[in-house]
Amino acid sequence: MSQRDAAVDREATAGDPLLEVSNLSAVVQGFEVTHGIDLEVREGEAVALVGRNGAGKTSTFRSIMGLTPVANGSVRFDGEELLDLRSELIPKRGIGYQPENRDLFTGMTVEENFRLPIWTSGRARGIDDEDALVEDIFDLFTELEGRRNAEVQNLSGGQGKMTAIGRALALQPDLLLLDEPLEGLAPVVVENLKSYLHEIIKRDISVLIAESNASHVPDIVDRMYVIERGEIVDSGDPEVLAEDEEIQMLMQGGGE
Amino acid sequence: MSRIPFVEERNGESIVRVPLTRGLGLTPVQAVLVLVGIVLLFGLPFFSGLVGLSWERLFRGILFGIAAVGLNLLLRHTELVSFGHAAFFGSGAYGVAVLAAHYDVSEGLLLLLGAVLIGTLVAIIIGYFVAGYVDIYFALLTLAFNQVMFATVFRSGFFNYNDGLQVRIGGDRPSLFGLEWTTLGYNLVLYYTTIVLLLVMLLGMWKLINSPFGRALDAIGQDRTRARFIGIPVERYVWISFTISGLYGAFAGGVYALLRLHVQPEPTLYVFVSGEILFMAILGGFTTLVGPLIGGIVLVYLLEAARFWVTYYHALTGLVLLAIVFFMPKGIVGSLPSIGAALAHRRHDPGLVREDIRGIAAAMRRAVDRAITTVRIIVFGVN
Repeated sequence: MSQRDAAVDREATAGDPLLEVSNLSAVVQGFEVTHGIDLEVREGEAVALVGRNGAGKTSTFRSIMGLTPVANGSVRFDGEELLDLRSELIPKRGIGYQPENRDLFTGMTVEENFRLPIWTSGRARGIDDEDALVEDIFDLFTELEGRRNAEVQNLSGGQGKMTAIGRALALQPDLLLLDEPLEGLAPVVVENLKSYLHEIIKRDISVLIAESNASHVPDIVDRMYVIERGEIVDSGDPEVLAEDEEIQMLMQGGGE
Repeated sequence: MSRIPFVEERNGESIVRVPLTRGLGLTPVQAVLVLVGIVLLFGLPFFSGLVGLSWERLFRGILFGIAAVGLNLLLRHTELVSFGHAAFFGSGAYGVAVLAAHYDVSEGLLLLLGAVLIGTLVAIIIGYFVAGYVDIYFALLTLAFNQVMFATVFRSGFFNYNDGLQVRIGGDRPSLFGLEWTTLGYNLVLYYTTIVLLLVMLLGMWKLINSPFGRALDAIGQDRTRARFIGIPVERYVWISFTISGLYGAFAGGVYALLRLHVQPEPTLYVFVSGEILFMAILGGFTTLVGPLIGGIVLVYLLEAARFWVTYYHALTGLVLLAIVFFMPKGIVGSLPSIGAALAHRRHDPGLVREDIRGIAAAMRRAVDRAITTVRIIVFGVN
């Protein structure tokens, strides 16, 4: 616990809290899958939520987005309680979500996948130059530039992840929720995508990344939470935690 | 940005656009087809004798086709199957009949306007209740609303029970554009007014499905959760599209009443009519804009023509539906591109035809072999 307190002290300077999740318990098909999750993302901060498959990362993200019922707890974003909002209003408040399975709009091109959120939420996000924003996303993901008019079902795995992240960026969000952006990709593509993530983090967007491989994230995030069986079991400096033997055991499924 | 072509599926090929049609996003071939279609529609009263059916009957096919175009907005984009679109067709028809019979409105266009308003209102009300549902629940709810309306009209003296209402004001048919017409003149004026409005409505639908709103409906059809987390208000958009869809049905029903001058519950409100409208959309090709319209014309033609040929003519619809589902799942218009491509291939390389024949022969041989084997096993046992 002392490690966690130290981490909180160190990060106290990072800015005001943007996302405050407290005591959150998500319910999937009648079963409580997370038990009193507490986490926080401050303005301009990049935070990782690390845990094995099935630990509750996706459920936590989905309950932040209002897509999974919640038994109790609170999710405050920029001072506003999100659990009271209809789920379609949450992206309009400024949270971009990249789901775990890419969940792109098939039959539409990469560019249309970027434009759709702007068409539906652009006004709420104060976006007045749609084209400039789209070009900005293509400037970031240079690899997608040549695939602009490709229908998304024809993309490679990495390109699909990029399109899903790009679609979340098209909301001009204050906070990005990235659910396992590096999962299922070849090592060389992982490095490539990490450099893009680094680029996004530098842009002053707050980011919360879910990840099942603790060694993937230390070099891009400021802080890390470890989730196991629906509970936050540790948090703090990512470099320290990733080296922690107990955590490593946990990640490999041997720890208890 | 408008990318969805007239006929879908071109695998990212770049499409040449002629300047004239650029605003609509049509290829030259599509533009020619559209022109041919418009000429056929306008010429229908003059050459319908060639197909052995009066044009008034084909007119009825066009009207059901319009309702099917409306239904197709839900079917193709939000991927919702409505089994209750006769509710709007019937509301339109009864809207005209009630305004004429009970309120003595004598101008046909006013009647039509009233019918569209009434039908749209019904769509707004039903849409409010069904927009949150998907799949079988949506289908059953629309069916239930339809059935409630049918039963109410059937049992209500206001709607004159099963006998229905005459669209006559003191024995006279309504006027059109403020003028009285002979029977033929009335039908022709009604027809051409409808065709002009139909073209406007098709253009409107084309613009709608290629707009951001149309893309949002596609997104909802694919996955409602996915649509929500980019901020699409799913229920509200479904409600709007349901209402627009109902508007098309109400318009068609209103014109139907003006054409028939007599509205009964069974041909306009019964759930079988809903089924037929749905069938028309599938028959014509629900992956296209004009497919349902053509499906409406073809189905009514088949039903009317077959009535003179076969006793069990309703079985014909079933057989046609089976054939469509097995051999042309994309419907008539939806299958045109692949049929065209296959024919072009064979013209290019006649050897393919020989292969086709060989393939069919082999398949038949296999079927016969299997049948013989089955019989042998039944008769002689294994070995």
